Order: sequence, then structure tokens, then C-alpha cells
Amino acid sequence: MSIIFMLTGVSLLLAIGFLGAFLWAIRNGQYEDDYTPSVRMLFEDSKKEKKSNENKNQKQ
Amino acid sequence: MKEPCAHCGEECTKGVIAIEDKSFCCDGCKTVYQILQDNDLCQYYGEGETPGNTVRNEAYYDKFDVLNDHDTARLFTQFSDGKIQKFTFKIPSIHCSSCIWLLEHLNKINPKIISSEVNFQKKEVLISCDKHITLKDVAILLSSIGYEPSLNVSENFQKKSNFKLILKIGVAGFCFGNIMLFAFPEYLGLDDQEFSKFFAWLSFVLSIPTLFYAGSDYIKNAIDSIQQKYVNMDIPIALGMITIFGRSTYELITDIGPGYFDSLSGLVFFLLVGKWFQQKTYDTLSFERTYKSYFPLSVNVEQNGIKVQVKLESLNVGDVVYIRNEEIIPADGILLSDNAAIDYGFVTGESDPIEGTRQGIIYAGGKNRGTEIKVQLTKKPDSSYLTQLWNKDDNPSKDSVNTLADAVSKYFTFAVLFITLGTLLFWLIADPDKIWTSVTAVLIVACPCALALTIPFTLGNSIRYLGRKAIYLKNTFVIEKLAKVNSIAFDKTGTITKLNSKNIHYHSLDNTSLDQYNSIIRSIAQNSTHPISMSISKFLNNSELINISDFKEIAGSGVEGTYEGKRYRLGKMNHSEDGNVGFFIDGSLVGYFIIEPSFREGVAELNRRIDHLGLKQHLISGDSEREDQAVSEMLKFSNKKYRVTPPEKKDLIQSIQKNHEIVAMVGDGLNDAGALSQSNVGIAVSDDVNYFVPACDVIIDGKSVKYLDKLIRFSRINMSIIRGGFLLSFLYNIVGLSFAVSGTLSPIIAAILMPLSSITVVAFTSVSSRLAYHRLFDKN
Repeated sequence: MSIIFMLTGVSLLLAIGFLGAFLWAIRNGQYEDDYTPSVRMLFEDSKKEKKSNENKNQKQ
Repeated sequence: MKEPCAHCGEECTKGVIAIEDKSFCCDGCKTVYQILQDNDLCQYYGEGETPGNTVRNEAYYDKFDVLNDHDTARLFTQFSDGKIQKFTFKIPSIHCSSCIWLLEHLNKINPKIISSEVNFQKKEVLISCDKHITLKDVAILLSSIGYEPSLNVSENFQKKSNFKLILKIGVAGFCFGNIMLFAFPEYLGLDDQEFSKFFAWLSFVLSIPTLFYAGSDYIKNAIDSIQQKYVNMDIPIALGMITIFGRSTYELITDIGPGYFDSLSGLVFFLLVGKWFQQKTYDTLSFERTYKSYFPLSVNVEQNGIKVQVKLESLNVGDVVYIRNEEIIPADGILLSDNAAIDYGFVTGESDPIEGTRQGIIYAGGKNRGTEIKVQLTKKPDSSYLTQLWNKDDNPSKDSVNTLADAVSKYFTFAVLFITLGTLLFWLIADPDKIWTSVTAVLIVACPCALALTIPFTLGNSIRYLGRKAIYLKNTFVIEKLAKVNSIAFDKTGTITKLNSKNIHYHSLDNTSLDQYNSIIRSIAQNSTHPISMSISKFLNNSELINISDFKEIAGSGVEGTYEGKRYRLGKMNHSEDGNVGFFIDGSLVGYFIIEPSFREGVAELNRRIDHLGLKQHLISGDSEREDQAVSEMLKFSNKKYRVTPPEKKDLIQSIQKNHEIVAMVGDGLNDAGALSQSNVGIAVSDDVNYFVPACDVIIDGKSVKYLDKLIRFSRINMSIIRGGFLLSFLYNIVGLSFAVSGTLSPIIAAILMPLSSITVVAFTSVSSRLAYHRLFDKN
């Protein structure tokens, strides 16, 4: 049964790790803006960028 | 139907400018399109349909000169190390996902910009760029594509919202969750002494940050209020929390039992969640505005014959300043130019521009319409006629409103202390051994957790619901004040009538129809910036524009022009009522326009419904009586006042208040600012809530003015819900107290009773406010 003492301690440490991650995320401003990233991830511009880069290269 | 502009989506009323297969309404839009095209950014138009902002005014980039000033630039800058600089601009015109797309691709237009990141809700863009580009350059770049940054510094500083509170909720939630896990075996009847002690000690360790970090505000507030000899809800809360902690620690050390750490952490966690729920804020709205938000950051001052940009605070009496078209006059002064047209609409509510003459006095807050004027200042910006209204708003009437919570908590606290004392005395005589357990139990159970949650959850919910109807409250206390309102004062222009739109009819005197002349009339009217000309030109915007020669605008009289040999004039008629505009051909009157105010949708019904509620209604207008007839026909007021100056408006509100009326002022412009702050509840109406709104308690979208009566009814219902919630939590307290007084409160009863009471109260208040909202706003 004494293993439970250890496991409890370990699980608590793990949980403290998650708490730390949460606090870090807040301090880092991850919850400041909960709308823009949802729009940003849908932007698709890699193709056009490539094209324009190619054009520039050709000009040079 | 006119063709919509490919950039901004508005109808091309002034003729079409076409390039390739696209058509544009103005040069501004075309330029933006070309810039985007040159930089391969036309994908902008694919995201939404026609997302652009009209770049209508010829942009005056000189005003960004102020950004070259080091001190000013620092206000916008977050970070600068000589190589890279990062700064934030607020851009009110951000409105859709295409805006985000374009603003995050600024580096394609100018490679010196390293990256840009939009915060849509705050309408801000964070720009990182190298040192070779200045803030001014970036501001000009943004303006040139239709995203002009706002230079109002006061709005660029919005406090970090509730960052600390969220940290505390995080910690409290973490501790609460873990303590509950450790407490479960105890609830289910764990016999093993070793485990139960181990878990209890772990709970003790976790409850230390809960109480002294997460719950520290309650303890601090309680100490503060004791020092100020003021009783509030925080005192019994703090007392309860400290007692729980103290008694549990004692029980733990003396091996009596596991203590009440589970109840303590739950209490702190629920209270903090309630607090957070109440703090709904509207990031992009600003309720606290000073006069500075309306004025430019800096103005052009003549010094030794050259124009120099001077910051507003550094202006002195005697300075000669230049005010360009569309700029706001920053301080009272004497006009040095020959004449000027100044629009005081924002100050007085009167919509027609006032003609200024040389050596005449002009007042701060007016907007210059026309060519650049030269003004010698006679006052500093902060002591001008208008700004004094703002400075005077240290009125006590607002803060002295006794909130229901304060009143209840006062009685509650005294009742708790009384019961504690009674219990102490009883057990002192009956059985001194039980004093400690029963007295602490009373303090624990009396901790008004459910009571403290009633208000945040009811009002927090309500604020969110009202936000859906474009009614934005500054904080939850406003609902309480709204519920008490028994009188409403309305401003006219911009509040019950629309600001820039009129109902226009043409009345012919010689049986010719308007169709014959509408091109001519529109072409003449279109050249003038006078509001009446502008509304006529807008009224006729379906007709063709033609070339008018010899155009002339005669101040105070009208506009005229020649077409195919005939002289046409639009303007005042002899012996006519105000508001009608005559149309003359070669000096003879052929017809006239009747211009009436256009009321906001639903105002007449609103007026009736408010009357039905038994509220008094006052009309306080800065405008002249010329629209009185139209108003009287539709609306009923117990009191009407016209030609009221801004300070008089404030005094009027004050005299209404002396009459024992609790008054809500509904207004829009800066001219209502004094009245809004004097009234018990200031309600500002705005057609675009992100732009000019004076300081107030409620910001309401123009389209939602018709819900005003419902807002008041909703507030009243909310107060009843709160009373119901209070009653419910009192019942729980009485049950708990009966255990506590008799000295039989076990940890498990406490652990069940406290969360249970909180949850029922939260459920009751949330459900009822939701039902109330649906009944009032969603039906019919």
C-alpha cells in the first residue's frame, strides 16, 4: 500500500506541472486574443507567395 | 441600381472610375486597389466580398508628424533596441477577416516591416519593423490603404484586463480540484488512519496558496473596510475563510479530524469565478473618455513664421494655430482668417454650421468645414468652454447610490456577529467545552458564499445578454441604477432623430415634376458642404451629374449655379418656415423641398411604451424649435426644452433630480457629455460604437434605442431575481446555522451544504435571467 504515498506525490507533481504550464500560458498572453488566431489559420497564401517570388527572381 | 464599388462595396453615386474590369466609387478606393494589385495582395478581395474602407477624405498625412516626436512615439512603442522596433496602433476600421489578412501582410507592401499581428477584438495591430522606417511612415502606409490609425493616446492605453484574476482562478481551481480528490476517501468512510492523515496534510499544504494568494483580495478588502469603518460583504467572507483555515489547522495538528480544507478551497474558487463572471468588459469600447479623446494630439502652431507641430498640452494662450478642414478646434480663440464655417454639431446638437467672421470668437470642439483657418487662442485647451464641462464632472450623486448588496451585507454582517455572540454566551453557560467548535462553526457556515454569488451571476449574465442586442453596460452596478430610474431625458438630434438623414419631399408650385430638374439640383447641391445641401444631394443620388457653371455659395442664403443659360438657386425662401428649401429658376420660385427629421425606427412605439411604464419623459435639445411640430405629432413628452446649451443641459438634469426623479439621460454628442455625467444613468447612443462616444454608463447602438423600455424592465426583473437569490441563500444559511449553533456541524455537512447552496443559487439566477431575457427581447 505504501506505493500509494509515492504515486500520490508523483501525481501531485504532475498536476503542479500542468498548473505551471497554465500560468505560463496566461502570462505569455495566450488568452489575450481568442478570435484572430481562428481566422489567421485559414489564410492560404503559400501558392501566391511562391509565384510572386518566382516572378521577382525572373526579373532579377 | 448603381454598380457597387469593387473596393468598398458602396454604390458608386458620384460616377464610376473604371480600370480593367473593376469599377470604383472614388479615387481613394482605386488607389488602394492599385497598391494592393502592385503588391500581389488582391487576395484581400477574395476573403470577403468588398471589404475595403472608403478612403473618402483626402488624407491629411501631416497630422502624423506628431509621431516623429520622440515622447509621443514612445507612447505607441512597446520595444525598441536600435535595430528592431515594435509598436501598437489602434485601428477602428478593422472589421472583417480580410482586414486581418491584409494587415498581416503589410511586409509585402513595405519589406522594412518585419511582421504585423492583428488583435481583432481590441482592433489593434502590433507592428515589428526595422529602424529605417518611422512610425509616421507606417501610419501613412496604413492610411493609404484605408486603415487609418487612431492617434488618441488615451484609448491606446487599455489596462490589462483581468490577468491577475485569471491567475488566481487557475491556482484556486487547481488546489480545489486536488483537495477534493484527497477528501473523497474521507467522504466515503476511509478507515486507514495513516492515509487519512497524509491526505489531510496534503490538503493543508494546498490550502495555503488558496487562502493567502487566491483569496488574498477578500482579506485585504475586509481589513480596508474595517479601517474605514464601513461594513461590506467581504468582512463575513474573510472572517469565514480565516476561521475555516484556523480551525482546520488546529484539528489537523491535534488529530481531531481532517478539517474543512475542501470547503475552504471550494469557497475561494466559486467566489473568484463569480468575480470573473461579473467583470465582463468590452475591450473595444471605452466608457471613460475625456475631452482629449476628441482632440488632435497636436496642432500646427505658427512660431517665427513657420508652422510647428505642438502637442496639445503645450499650447499657450496667444498661440496662433492653423486648423485644417475637418479638424477639431482644440481651444477657444479668435478667428484671424476672414471667414470660416464651423460645425458645432458635436457641441451643441445644432446641425447647421455657424459662419465665423474675422475677429469673432470660436469655441473648442467645433469642426472646421472648409479651407484652413488661422486662430489665435484665448484659452488653454483644458480651460475652454467645452472642456470645463468634462472637468466639472466630479459629482457625488453617482457614487452615493447605495447598492442593494451593500445594504444587505450590512444587516447580514451584524446578524452574523450577533448570532456568534449569542452562541458564545449560550455555550459559556451550558457547556464551555463546546464553545470553540460551535462558535467557529457559526462563522464558517455564515460565510455568505451563495449570497456573494447571487449578484455576479445574475448581472454578469444580463450584461452578456444585453451585449447581443448591442446594448453595452459599463459594469454591473448600472443595472441596479437602471432599475430605479423613474424619468428619462432625451436629446433630440442624433438620439431620437437620425443624425445625417432627413425625410425630404418636393412640393412643386408650377405643376412641373422634380424629374425635370433633379440632375441640376443635385449637381448644384453637391458642391456645398452645408448639411442641408448634402441631404438634398443624397436624396437625389440616382440622378446624373452635369456640369454647372458659375457655382456660387452665399453664406446663410443658399447655393446657385448656371446651366444652359438659366440661373438656378437653392436656398431660403422669403417668409417661409424654417427647414424648407426653395428652388428658384432665374429668381422665380418653382417649388420647394420640405425637410423633416427622420426619426429612428420604433421611437414612437418606444415613447408610448415608456409612458405606459409610468416614467416621465423630458426632451432636452440644443437645436431650434423648427422640428418641434414633427416631434409633437409623434411623441409625447412631459417637458420640452429647445435651444439648450451644454451647461444648461447639465443644470436641467440637476433640477430634474432635485424634483426627486432618478433620471437617465439619453444623448449622443459631446454636447450631452455634461448631462450624461450628471444624470443617474448616462446612456450614449451611437451609430458606430467604436467611434465617438462621450463618457457614460451605457453605450447603445442606434438600432437598439427602441429597446430602451425593455432595458429598464429587464433591469427591474433582474433586481427581483437578485432578491430571490438572496432569499434562497438565507434559507441555506439558516439551515447551516441551526447545525452550527447546536454544535453538530460535521465537516461532511459543511462540505455538502456550502457547494450545494452556491450551485442552487447560481442555477436559479442564471436560469431566471435567461428566461427574463427571452421573454422580453426575443418574443415579438
